[in-house]
Formats: sequence, C-alpha cells, structure tokens
Amino acid sequence: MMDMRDSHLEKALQHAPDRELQPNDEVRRCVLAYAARPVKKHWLQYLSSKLNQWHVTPAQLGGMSSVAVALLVLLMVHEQRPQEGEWAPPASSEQVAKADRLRKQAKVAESAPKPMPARETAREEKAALGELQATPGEIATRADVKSEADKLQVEPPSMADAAPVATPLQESTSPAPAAIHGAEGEIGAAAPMAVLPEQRAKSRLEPLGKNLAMEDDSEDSDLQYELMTQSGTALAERDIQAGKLRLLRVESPNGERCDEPITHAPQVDAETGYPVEVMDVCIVPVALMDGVRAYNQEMRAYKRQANR
Amino acid sequence: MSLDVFSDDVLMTKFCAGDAQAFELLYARHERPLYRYVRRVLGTALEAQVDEVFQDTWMKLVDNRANWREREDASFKTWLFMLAHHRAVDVLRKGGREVSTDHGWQDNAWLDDEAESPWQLWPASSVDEPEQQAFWRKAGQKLLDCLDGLPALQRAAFLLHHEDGLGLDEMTRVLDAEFETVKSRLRYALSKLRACMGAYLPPAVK
Repeated sequence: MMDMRDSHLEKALQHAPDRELQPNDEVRRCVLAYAARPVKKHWLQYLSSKLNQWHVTPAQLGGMSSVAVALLVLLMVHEQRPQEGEWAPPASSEQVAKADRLRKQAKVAESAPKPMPARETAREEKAALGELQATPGEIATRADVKSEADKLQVEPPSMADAAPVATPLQESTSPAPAAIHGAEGEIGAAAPMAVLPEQRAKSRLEPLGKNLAMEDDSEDSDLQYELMTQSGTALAERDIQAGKLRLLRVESPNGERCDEPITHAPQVDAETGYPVEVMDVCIVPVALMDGVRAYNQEMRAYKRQANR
Repeated sequence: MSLDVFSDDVLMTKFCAGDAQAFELLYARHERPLYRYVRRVLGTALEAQVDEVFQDTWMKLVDNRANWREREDASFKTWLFMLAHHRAVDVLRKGGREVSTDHGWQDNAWLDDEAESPWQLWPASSVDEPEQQAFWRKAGQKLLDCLDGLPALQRAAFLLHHEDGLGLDEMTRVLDAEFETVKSRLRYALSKLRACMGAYLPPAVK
C-alpha cells in the first residue's frame, strides 16, 4: 500500500484542538433511535426472500409468472361482456321460454282496462331482458317483425321451420301495448337467423326507433323511421304524388308527459294552408330533424310552384 | 460473548440481521472520527451544518443496510466515509464552496501571510513535556487553519489519509476518483500544508 503520510502533519493533526469534539446528545439519540426502528421490507424484497427460502429457480419463477399472466387473461376474457356489433349465438331454449313468458305478460297487460302501460314499465321490461339482448344490432323493429311475420305466412313451411320462433311474432300485427315492444324485440334477438338480411340494416336504428315512438302508432313510427333513413325530399315527393299534402313538426315533451299519449288539436300551416302533423318524440335524433326539414321544404316548394 | 471482539464488517452484518446493539457499537467506534472528518471537510464556513451532515450519513447507512455486503476490497469504514464525503460535497456545492478544483501550486497567495520564519517555533529537544504539548496544540490549530484554506477535495484527501488511516486504494472509492487523481490531490495538499505550517515544521520536512 502506497503511503504518503507526513508524520509531522499527522502529529499536529492529532493535537488539534477539535480532537475531542463530538456531536451533541440529541444527534446521537436520533441516530440510534433511527437505527433501532423495525425494518419495513419492500414487497419485492419480501417476495425475493420468500422465494429464496423455497429454493425457487429463475426458470420456475418464469413458469409461474406465465401461468399467472395466462390466468389473468382468461379472467379478463371471461368477464368481458359482448359488445355491440358482435356475433351473438342463437337463443337457448331457456331464453326462448323467457321470451314466451314476457309475451304472456304482455297479453295480460293488453287485456287490462288501462289503455297503455307506462313507458317506464316497458323500459323495466327491456332491462329485465337485457341478458337476452346479445346483439342490439340484430334486433328487429316492430315494423320489421310485422313484415317478417307477413312473409312467413306466405312462404313455404320450410322457411317457417327455419325460424320457429317467428310464429308467435304474428301476434304483434295487432295493435299492442308498449309493453309488447320488449317481448317482440327479444323474440327477434332470440332468433337472429329469422331476421332477413335487408332488415338488418334497418334494425340498426332500432334502439333509436324505440325511443322515438311515443305513441304506439305504427304509421307514425314508420314515418319517423322513413324520415331518418330516407331522403325527406323523396318522401315529400311521394306524398305529393299521392295527393297527401301536409307539413310535419316534431315535438319533444318533457318529464312525465313523455310516457303519455298526447292528442293534438288540428293545426294548419299559415303559409301553405296545409295541415300540420305533429310527431311527439322523447329523444329527437338529428337525422329525424334533418328529414323533417327537407320534407317541409319540399312541400313548401311544391306549394309555391302551384301558386304560380 | 462481547460484541467488542468483532470487526466493523461483522458488526454491520449483525446489524443487517437485526442486531441493534451491533449498530450501537459501530456508532460508538466511529462517532468522533466521522464527526471530525465532516467538520473539517466542511470547514469553518459551513460549521453550522456539521450535525446535519453527520446525522444524514448515519441515517443513509441505516436506510441502505440491505445493500451491505462483506467484501474484501471495501470495508465498513470505507463505506461510511464515502457516504459522509458525498453528503458533505453536496452541502459544499449548495453552499457555493469550491469543491472540484485541483489547484496548482501557484495560486497559494494565502501562504504569503506567514510572517514567522522557519524553525522559529520548533521546540528544542531539551524542553519539558508541557511545553512540547503546548507547541503541538498550537501546531494542530495552525494545521486546522491551513486546512481551511485548501480546496475541499484536497482537504478530504489529506484527512482520509492522515486522520482516518485510509490507504490510497480505499480513498479512490471514498472520493470516487482515479488513483492518480487521488495521489495528485494528496501531493498538492501536503505541499500547501507544509508551506502553510512554516515555523511549525522542522527544517528537514520543509
């Protein structure tokens, strides 16, 4: 070991007046108390020490980690609910039975003296059926179900056999209370194979359509649906050719009134003299407003042209 | 069996295993040397922070006890002084004190204040013991004054080698510097201190 000590400087240092200095008692107590604290092991250190005790090799640790990750992924996949637009498996017999039960409840409601159950009840029914609603995109509208049922009546029996749950749908052709909406929707969902391809595109608007229809007026609902899915101008031209001159207006009642049927007094547009049909809609989609605007513009344009 | 018989390294290992008494003995062994080292490295300008640096050093040692491994090339003392040195340098830097320069010989203008001629105060061999003691006490105070004028790293190198008995290899770890750098700092420190001590050193040393 290399030594560069200077003995005289070393001796002078040993006689320096600060030789006997020491920290005060408070510092000493503080340090000793700090050292006497119980050791709080970090969880990684704890795990490491435990693994060392168990003589776990790095390879075994890697294997255990892989298993843990695989279990975690499985758990996540298992917990994941089906998303919109995903494929839904055909309904089980249990689901079909549940749909039948709901349909029977709807029949009871139909025979009741009340003209129409509250919309809230319908929503609760729908919520109860939530587990059956595997693919909202596949749910048919009531109009779709109706047309589907009509088709099944004229088509060969084999087609009807292919969609056995379609038979009860025919009941929905009669005016039904709002509670039936849920059951019908669920029947459509329970047998997605029974929904025709061209109806699938239409049915994607079903969630909106359900919110749209305040009254159980199929004509009104159909018009709303057409206004959202077709050109408002084209619909106006069709009505003009059919001699059905009118203007449309959308109203959105609030609160409790949203669940009640509303009867409007006949209204006439001051400019054109055409009758104004009011559509009560709880939640007004932009597409419907655009459709109504285009429809009315076309009607007014026709009126102005006719006046000339 | 008394803990006194164990080396610092063994005591530290015992402390890591949860033996608080081992730490108390370690603290008692190194309390004063470490305190002196911190005080001298910080110098009189930062004397107020000596207690803080000293306490922080021990606390850091306690906090990092899990990293302690008995090694042949690094003793407990080296580790302890390294922690103290790093903490002291931090304080010096924050205090705006010169730390990193390895000044050459030429910038020692402060040496010119030495008014006493060489050998003037050097005690004759015939003087009695109390007089000798008085001389060395004055020499010790003079040395402290001279140390205060050194750059901190040169001061640290001198103290570690002369006061705490660390070899150059150990000093490279404490000071976190190359061997030649440490040697150079020590050489500069010795030269300046010898010049500064003046009359307190015998002619042969000068």
